[in-house]
Amino acid sequence: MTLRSYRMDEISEKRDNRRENIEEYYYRLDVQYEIVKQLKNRECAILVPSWVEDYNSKRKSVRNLKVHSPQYLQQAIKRLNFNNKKNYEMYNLYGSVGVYKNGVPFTTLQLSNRDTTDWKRNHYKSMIGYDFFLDIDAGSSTDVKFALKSAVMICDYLTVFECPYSLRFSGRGFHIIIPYNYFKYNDFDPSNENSIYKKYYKIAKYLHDKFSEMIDLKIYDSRRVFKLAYSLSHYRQQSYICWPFESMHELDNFEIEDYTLSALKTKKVRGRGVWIFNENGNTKRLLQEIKGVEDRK
Amino acid sequence: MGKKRLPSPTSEDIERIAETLINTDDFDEIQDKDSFNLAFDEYLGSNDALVKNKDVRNATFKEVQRLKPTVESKEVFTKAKGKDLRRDRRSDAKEIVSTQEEYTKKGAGKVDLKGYDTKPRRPKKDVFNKIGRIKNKIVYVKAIRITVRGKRVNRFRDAKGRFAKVN
Repeated sequence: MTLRSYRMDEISEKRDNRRENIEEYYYRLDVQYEIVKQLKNRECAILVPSWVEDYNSKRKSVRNLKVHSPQYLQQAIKRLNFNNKKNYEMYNLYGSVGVYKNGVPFTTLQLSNRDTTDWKRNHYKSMIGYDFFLDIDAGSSTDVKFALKSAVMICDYLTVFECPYSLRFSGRGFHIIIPYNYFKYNDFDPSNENSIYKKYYKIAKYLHDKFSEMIDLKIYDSRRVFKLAYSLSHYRQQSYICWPFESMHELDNFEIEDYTLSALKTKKVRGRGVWIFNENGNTKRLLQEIKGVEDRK
Repeated sequence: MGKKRLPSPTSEDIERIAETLINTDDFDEIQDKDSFNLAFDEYLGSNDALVKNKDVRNATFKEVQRLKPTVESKEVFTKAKGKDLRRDRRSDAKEIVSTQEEYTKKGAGKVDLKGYDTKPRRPKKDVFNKIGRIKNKIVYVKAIRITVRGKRVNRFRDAKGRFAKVN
């Protein structure tokens, strides 16, 4: 297989075609490295956006991909099918919220040869971590300002308790993620009453009731995937970059137009990584606060 | 190339769909296969590929019949060549017939069958579809028309009835 990649200086400013821009972006080595870093021991998924209604397109979504090097990512993004004539057929790149001991066991892209039944049933047994993931979801681009306000309030609240978190734009909202190593929960069996998903749901519900109803509470299950930082989030009119923020200053000056693919396509991302705010903090005080409020009820 | 067949629904899928249907307000109005189809289409949406599967539809209907034995398998409205149940069985039909045979013969577009009415369709559930703010909390709100000092004005309320700002 011929591997193809672009260096930063090869990016043409003149090409304006959306599909070509997407292709160029995903074939950039710096982008590939940043995406692969996040997929270590996680499942990769390539899914059609929810606004695509064509069932035949939906069926091309793939889950359970193992992507542990740029070469694997390049194979996977071949699935993104840039040469497809259907303009609406665009794919988002996701990673699992759960982290597995040895990643997912599937390395073949011969999808018809894979039998994932056993994995679907027993995946949680090889899980070693599951990030706390808060999805602040705006229904439309006009509601993003409310999602922004929600994100700012929640981030300020987490900072008060010196709670570590990362924050990124998701295309139509914001994702706040607390890495799993800041929690001591390790019950990954979804059928258990004290599973990590139920514990995370309680935290999300608390923040939902206190700050914003835009927080999606239906996402706490063992197979959940989220959009990867630096991946693209496609909508009918525009593609946005899921951009992780490095400082609250970026959030203060947030304008959705600044995060379109065309606005950011030449911005370097190598080594930028995903910033953790309050990295040396812990979740102890936040959990104590939530428990205290629940007890008072 | 032939069209690929969808995977067969599992009993879990059927239970999930039937449960969704049971939780809707329209469950009481399901009296036969036609009204079931209408509720099924409205509440489960057209996006879900599984919902388009006839096997799923039929199995869900059986599950609904199990939960509500009074639901009949007949398709009275379809048999009378009715096109859209949401617009039919209306009270403004010029003639009201009392037997199903007569109804089938004259056609659902022209006559109404006595005792076989569905309520006018309510707007969909997503009434609270705007985003607003109450103090420092972001909430979903719905638009209402109220009278303030004799003038009709638009206001927004959340699910608890509290007034919210949307700007």
